[in-house]
Order: sequence, then C-alpha cells, then structure tokens
Amino acid sequence: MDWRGMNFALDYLASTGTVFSVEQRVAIQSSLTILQQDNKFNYVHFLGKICGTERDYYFVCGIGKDYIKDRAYFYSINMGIDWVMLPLPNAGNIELGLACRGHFIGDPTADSETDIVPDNQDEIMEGDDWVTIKEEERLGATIAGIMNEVAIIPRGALIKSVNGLVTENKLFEGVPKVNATQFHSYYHLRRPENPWDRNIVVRADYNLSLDFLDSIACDLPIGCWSLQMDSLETTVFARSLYWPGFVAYHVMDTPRYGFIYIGTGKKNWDVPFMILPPPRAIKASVVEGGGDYQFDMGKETAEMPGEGGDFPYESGPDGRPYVPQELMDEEEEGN
Amino acid sequence: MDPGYDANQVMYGEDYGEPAYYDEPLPEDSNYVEESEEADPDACTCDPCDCDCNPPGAQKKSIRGSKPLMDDEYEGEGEGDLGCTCDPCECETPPGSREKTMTMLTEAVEESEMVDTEVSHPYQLDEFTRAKAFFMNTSTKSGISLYDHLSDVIRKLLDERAPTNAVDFLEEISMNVKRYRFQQPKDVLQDVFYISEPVLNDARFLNDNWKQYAQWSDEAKEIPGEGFVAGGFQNLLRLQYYLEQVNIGLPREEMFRLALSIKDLTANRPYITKARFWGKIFCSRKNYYVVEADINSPGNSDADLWQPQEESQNPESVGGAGDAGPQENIPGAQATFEKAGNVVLNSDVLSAYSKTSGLPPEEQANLLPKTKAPTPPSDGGLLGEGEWGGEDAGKSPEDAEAAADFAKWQGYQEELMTKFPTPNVEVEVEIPPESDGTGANRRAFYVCNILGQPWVLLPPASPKQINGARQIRWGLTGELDGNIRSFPNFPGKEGHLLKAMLTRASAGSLVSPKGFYRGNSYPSEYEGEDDEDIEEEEESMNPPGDDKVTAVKKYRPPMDSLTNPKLTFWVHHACLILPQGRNVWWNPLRAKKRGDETEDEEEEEEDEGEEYEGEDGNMGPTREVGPPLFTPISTDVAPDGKAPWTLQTSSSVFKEFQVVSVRSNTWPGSTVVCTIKGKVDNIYLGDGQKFADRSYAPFMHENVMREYRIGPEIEEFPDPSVEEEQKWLNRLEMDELGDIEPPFVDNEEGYEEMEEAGEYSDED
Repeated sequence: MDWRGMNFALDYLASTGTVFSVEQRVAIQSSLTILQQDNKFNYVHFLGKICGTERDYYFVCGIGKDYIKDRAYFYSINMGIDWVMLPLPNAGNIELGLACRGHFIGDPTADSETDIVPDNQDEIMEGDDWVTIKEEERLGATIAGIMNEVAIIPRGALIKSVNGLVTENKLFEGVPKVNATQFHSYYHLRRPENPWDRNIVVRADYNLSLDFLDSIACDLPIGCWSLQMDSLETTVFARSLYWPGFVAYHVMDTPRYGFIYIGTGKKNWDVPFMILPPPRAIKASVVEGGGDYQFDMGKETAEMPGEGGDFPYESGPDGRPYVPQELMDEEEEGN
Repeated sequence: MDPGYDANQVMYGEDYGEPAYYDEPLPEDSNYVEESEEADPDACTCDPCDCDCNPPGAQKKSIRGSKPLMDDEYEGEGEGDLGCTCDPCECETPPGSREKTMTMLTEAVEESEMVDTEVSHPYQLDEFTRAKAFFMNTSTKSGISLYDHLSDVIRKLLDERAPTNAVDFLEEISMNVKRYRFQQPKDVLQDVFYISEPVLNDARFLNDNWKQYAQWSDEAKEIPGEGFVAGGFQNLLRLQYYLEQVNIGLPREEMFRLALSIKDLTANRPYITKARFWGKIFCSRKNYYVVEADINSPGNSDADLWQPQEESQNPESVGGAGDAGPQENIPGAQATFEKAGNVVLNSDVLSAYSKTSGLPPEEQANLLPKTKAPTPPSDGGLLGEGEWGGEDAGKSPEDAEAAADFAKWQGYQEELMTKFPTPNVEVEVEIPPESDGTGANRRAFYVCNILGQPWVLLPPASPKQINGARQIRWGLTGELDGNIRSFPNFPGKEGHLLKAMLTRASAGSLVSPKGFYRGNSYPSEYEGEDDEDIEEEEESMNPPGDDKVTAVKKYRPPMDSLTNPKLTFWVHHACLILPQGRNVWWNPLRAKKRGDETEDEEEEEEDEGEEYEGEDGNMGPTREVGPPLFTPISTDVAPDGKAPWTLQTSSSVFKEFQVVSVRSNTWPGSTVVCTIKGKVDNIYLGDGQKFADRSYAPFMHENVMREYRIGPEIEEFPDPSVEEEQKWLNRLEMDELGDIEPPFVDNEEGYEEMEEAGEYSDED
C-alpha cells in the first residue's frame, strides 16, 4: 500500500491482527515522504515487516513509472526511521535464502545457516558446516520470494498501456462481489511467468490490457491460497499458506486494495502436507498446451521481481511448473 | 479516349499507380492521381466503389488537371454525373483503431456544423451523409450504432473531465460505456435492496445483545448471571489499547463485539468463573475466536460440548473425561492380526474351501482344523478305491493331482496352526487423559467462528492427541468437523487438533512478569505483598502439574526489571506438557501390573507413580519431570538456537507510558503485554502453528512385517475348461451332488453328451 493511504489500509487490515501504533505510523509516514523525495519515486509502498529475534526489519518498495519494472526495495532496522537500499539477490542466493533455518535475528551482518549441504553432497559430513549466507542476502531473497510468490492485486487494478507501460488503472472500480471470492480475480504483482495466453483463455471477458498478469488460480497446490470475506461482506482477505503472515485485502466494488506481510520471514515449505486435496471437480487452471512454454533456466542472475527473472525453485525437475500427476491424468481424461 | 478509359479502369483496379500508363496517353494524369489519393481518405479509407464503372467526373478532371484539385473543384462540374451511382461503401469498417474513428467523428462533427451554417456543396453533403450513415449502422449483434457509442464516450469524457490523460484510458472508457449500457434492467425482485443472510443475522444478534445489555435499568440487573464474572472479566477495549502500543491487535469494533459476545457467553452460564479472550486463530476458510474459561463444575458444561458430526463412527469421543473414542476406529496391528486369524482359521471358510477340494464329504471333514491332523495319503493314493465306481483309483492323473493338492493343503494347515505370524509391535499402553479441569486439560476453551454464533466448548484432549499434534503439521480450515489427513494418523477431527494446539500453545507461551500470578494453594491470596516476599514464597506452592494461579491485585512491576533484556523477570505461569502428553507423569508399568482397572485410578496416580518407580528401580521408564511453575523464560531454549523470546517496548519517546511486551518466537503470534500500572495480559493472534526450524518431513513408516504364507484360500487357480468341468460333473453325478447343477450345454455335442449322461443316469 502506498504510504499516503496507509492509515486507511491498516484499518482494513486490523482484523487480521495487523495494527500499527500511532507513533509507528507517524514515524513511517514521515520517513517515507523523505525517501520518496530523495529517490524521485512515484509511489512508495509499505510492504511489511519481518520479525527478528532482536530487531524487526521493515521493508518498502519504491515504484517509478512502471509498476512492475521500476522498483527498488529498502529496508530499515530501526522501526522505519532510516532506510537502506536492499541489494538484489542473485539466483543462488535466492535459493539459499529461502532455505535458511530459524528466525531472522535483526542484524544484517549476521550469518544465517541454511539447510543446504556444501558441494551438493547428499549428507553433511563430519567437520563440514552448513552453507551460510549473510542475513542481508537472506532478507533480499525473502523479500524477492514474497513479492514474487504472494504479492497480489485484484484484477483490473493495473493496466498495461499500448507502449507496454504498466500503471495504476484510474478507472478501476473494484471487483464485484460475485467475482471477489474467486481466485481468478487476483493477479500476481510480478512480471508474468506463465504463457501470455494462459490467463486469458480461462476468461470469457478477457481484456488484453488488464489480463496480462498471472492469476493466483494457477498456483499449486490448489488450496495454497485462502480467500475470506469479513463478517460484513464488504472486504475480501487473501492469505497465503506459503508465507504465513501475508494478508491482502480488497474492498469490494471500490478501488481499495493492498497487502502487507508481517511474519517470521520463513517460507512454509510444508504446504502440501497441510491441506486436503481439492475435490475432483476443481481442476488447476493449467491451460492445454502450456507446456510449450519454456522457462529459461540458464540465467546467471535472477533479479528482483520487477526486473524479471524466473525462479528455478518454482518449477519441476524438467523445467516445467510442477503439476500433480492426478491433475495431469484428469486433463488427459478430459481430452 | 479509349486508352485513357482503360487507364482509368486500371487506376481503380489492382495495378493502381503503375507509372507506365500515365506516360503515353495521359501524361498529366499522375498529378491528379496523387491529389485524389489525398482527398479520398477523409470520408472513408475503404475503396469507395467496387463496381467497374468509370467515374466520369474524375476523368474529366484528369483531363483538365494541370492545377491541383481540391474539393471545391467539384463545384460546377455538373451535379448530374458526379460519381458512380452504386453503393458508396459496401465493405466493412476497416480494422482500424478507435482513435482513428474518433478523429473521423470529430471531423464529421465539424463538417456538420459547416453544413448547418452554409449551404454546402451537394458532394460534401453527400460524403458527410454517407459517413454518418455508416456510423449509424446498427450492429446486428448489440443493437447500437457506432455513432451512439462514440457520442456516449465523448459525453462521458466531457461530463466527468476525468481521468487525466484520458487518451491513455480510452479503451477502458469505451469498454465501461458498453458495459453500463448493457446492464440488465432490474425487475421488481432484483430491485429490492438485498442484504445477505449472514450479515443480517449478525446485525440482528448485535442489536439484540445491545438491547439486552446496554440499558442500565432495573430490569437489566436481573439478568441471570449478571455480575457473576465481574471479577474475571476483561476490559477488552483497554486491552486493545495496550496491544496497539506494541503493534498488534484487532480493530476496536471487533474487540467490542467480542466483549459483547463473551458477556453473552458468561451471562447464562454460572459455572464459568472466569472468561478470558485467549486469541484469534486465522484459518483458511473461517477464523476461530478462542475464549479460555475456568469451569468450576465440568459436568454442567456438557450442553455446549462440541460433538463431531459423524457420531456413528466415534461415539465415545463425546464423553467427558474418557475421549479415547476416535483412535479406536483405527485398528492397531494386534487387532488386524487377530481379525486376519479369525478369518483364516474360521471353520466356515475352511469347510467351504474343503468342499472345493474335490474330495468326498468324509474326507472333507478331515481337512477341518478342529479334527486331528489329516492322515497323509497312502501310497495307493488319497482316495478309497471303492468310492469312485468303476475307475481304477490311484493311477489316474486326477488322483495324482488330488494327492498333490492334499499335500499342499496339509502343509499349509500345519503352518497355519503352528506358525501363525504375530505382530512384533509392543502393545502400547493407553495413557489415560487428565480429567477435565486438571493438568493439561485445566483450561476449557470455547471457540466460535463468527462473533454472535454460539460458543462451543472443546472436549478435553487425550495425551495421544497432544502427541499426535506434535508430530504433524496441518493447516486449520476453520471447520471443527474437518478431516485431517496426515501421517502418523491424528486420532480425531480438526476440533480435537485445535484443542491440542490450544493446550500446547498455552503451555508454551503463557508468561507473565514475576509475581503477577501466584499459586492457588497460597494461603492469603488477595493481599498485596512486596516483591521480595512473593519471590520467596513462590517456591513451594502448587504441586507439580497444577497451574491454577490467581492474579495478584495492585501489582506494580519495576520497570527496570521488566525491560531487562535478559528476561529473568518474566516467568511461565503454565505447566509444561510432558513428552507423555500429560502434565503429571503417569507410569505405564502400573497399567501392566494392575491390568484392567485403569479407569478409577486417575486420582491416586501421582502417589502410585512414585511408588512404582521406587519399587522397580531401573526397570521402569524414566519419570518425566517438567520444570516447576514460575520458571523464568530466560532458561528456555529455542529449537533453532536463537532467542525464544523477544522483548519490545512501545514508545521510544514517552517512557512514562510505556507498554512492555514479550513476544514468543516459538509460537509466533503469542504476546504478553504489561503496562507500567501492572496490567498484564496474554493474547494469541496467529495461525496456530508452532515455529518449525526445519521443513516438515513425514515419518518413515516402520519395516513391513512378515506376512503369513499365501495359502490356497487366496491363491488363484486357473478356471477349468468346459471339458474339465464337464468331466468333473460327470464324475459327481454318481453322488447326489451331480443333480444340483445341470451340465453346461452350448452346442450340439454338448447336447449329445447331456443325453448320454441322462441315459447313463437312467441306467443307474
């Protein structure tokens, strides 16, 4: 959420346990004003905080002309007073950063131990240490993971103009109530990774200038997202099981939306063990022929979301997104 | 003029603009062609005319054409023969962008003004009318015309003067105009303002509660149970204020509704002595609000007790203290083996099988296990010779087969009787759960999904459930009856898992400043004491496993101690749940000695446990002992080796009003706040999962046990062919059995055979 609308956004998000004290809001808003002025951003979005054992990391995203491409990330370790630019993680660090054990500490120079064994061994040998990275690199990887995997917006909030620039849609009127609890109405705020037609094929009312992002209905396994309406049926909350602590909200029929992450900064890799399989009637919205799309795995450096880049950990061994065998079978039966 | 005629014809054809034509007959013509190209697209970009006719006017001008031809050149050139008479434009709209049509329209509008003011030229009028006519073509699909649509778009832009940079959003505006135009006209039913049922029920509930509790008249004081929980009731709005200082909490509206709902819960239940908002658990479909209650007489609360929906499967789980129901559905290894043995060694099964062995009934009886082991077949063969009529037994191949069968059968029988495999798993002793209101089940938890719905009391958790919850990771859905698919299998539904989670989280994360709580066995509870005295007297308070505590009134914690980063001033006020799944250790050896009488022993278990340990010495399992109550949290160890607790203070500016909070890192979402005035409260806002240092890996299952040998009762034999079957039936016909089933006949041969057989039987 942009810092200008942070007060309103936090009001909506409060029922998910996300509250900031008045002192905190004032501090963040003033420092973000300065940050925006110094860096000539169009928007500065407050993304959330990662709770460490000693200090918390607050992190924001400055947005330039283009919503997807022109982004820069900053973090703060003193409750949002001073902001430091976050270095972009490379591809190896993203993998390592998401495999780190334990909590963040709150010290960017501390070492974080990962679950990775050096030199691609199968087990850790006597005398070897687990691979460690700096906590700042882990922070970068975590934020990249959050922005790539769970940062979402309602459909129509962003618009792609003819010259390819992605901007805020001034005519966005909100998702109507009928569609607001459907996964197809929420899009990943990232450079699209799916083939461009995967998303529009499933829509009868597709619009090329709106449906250019990946829908969260394609995320696997089915059930890794939770959409809930509040008791007054005005606001929809989306929560991800992969990143517990992430909440996105959208007030139906209004152009108010946003998300925030407040959590431990540890990705929950256990999602497949935590959910029931979906009923047979529901299928993943994997479009036929989507397999032709090739992930380019050979990239040396993955960039922050917005700079593009594919994340190898999201895909199966052959470079294609992982699809459960049952679903593949169902699709074949459907043929 | 013939060559020129041809040239013009080509000019409108495909070879338009080829220079060779203009050289010879009409050298001036090239000039004209360019001009007419420029003038034409004003009206319509499509080819104006599909017909073959030659526009005579154009030709005339082309002849004259030394000077550039403008539109007004047409003036006076003879109205009659202007252009061809065919339809000006038969083609569809060129697939141009909307911007182009927009510019065309604005030009058309300008033109129309010109037409109005001046008496314009007929040709001009004609072009305009043609363009307008094209625009006003009604779409056969949607029923509107482009003219209407564009004017609507322009009107919308002019009316709203929004958005800025409207040209960037032109497509969207156009789409919106279309969308609004095609909204269904609402009929009477749709026109009624509709509020969905849950929202309406919610509002009704709130309104009713408001009316019930908000008026401070005399009648309001007569509400049953009013004032009963006055001592134990929380000021949730004040709590919310403190929570907000440390950046957690819920909306104030929600807190108020929660308070109202808790009041509604406690008002009609006098057995609830204290109700505390424990926390909110965020699940994937609905959320849980949890209230921790102290119930003085557990039997009264059965009306609210949650019952799993599928009562037929686990009726025992409904009961109060027992609650060993769900796991009985999952047969253990011993039960499985017994069941298999019953099936295999069943005399019915065996006799049924023995009938298929082809033996005469007398011999069949020998196969049954009840009788003595069957005698091995003699050399002459199994079958008595006289039994089979004229056939010479013992030498025919059938008899050899039968003998082999018998040998196989006999060996199998012997093995089955002697070496039936037994499970190599130790029979687990069922650890009895602690009864409602004691030990790990001391806290009663009321949960509800939506404020205003009735609160539901969760049944007590058994040690098996607590340990099951420790071994799995399962995302709560918000539905108490939800199934859990996990390995190892969790004994129960989601409600049981929730109770186990709440119990574990309470035990792990309920902390308070030292001295705020004191044990119930302390003689003078409500007198304010100095801090030093309290510390001294805390040492010998509650028996182990009992964490009934009472808050001290007028508690004033020293700020320096509260904010000490070593966290020695903060203590647990809930007992650790032992690895056994209980607060008080229970000796499994006792169950083996005592045999079946386990149920009534719970009250005396503590003493007896010690006794048995004393008697058996090293023989018994080691006794599990938790840390005493009020152990400082500085001694805790987190699984990831980092700090298990994080201290936070609210304000860095106004230290006078500081709120201190301690956040649990092992149970993310659990926080305790303490103000400088000594108000202490715990709250949990999270998803119910304990922090996992590493990713979850399901347990490997144990080694597969030895199966019993595959015997003939499940061995598959090839089906007999028709001939074999017939032969067998023919053989049986000597007995009465042969009459049961007529021989199989499907062709003439078979029919003859049957006839023969009939004769044969007649002869007998």
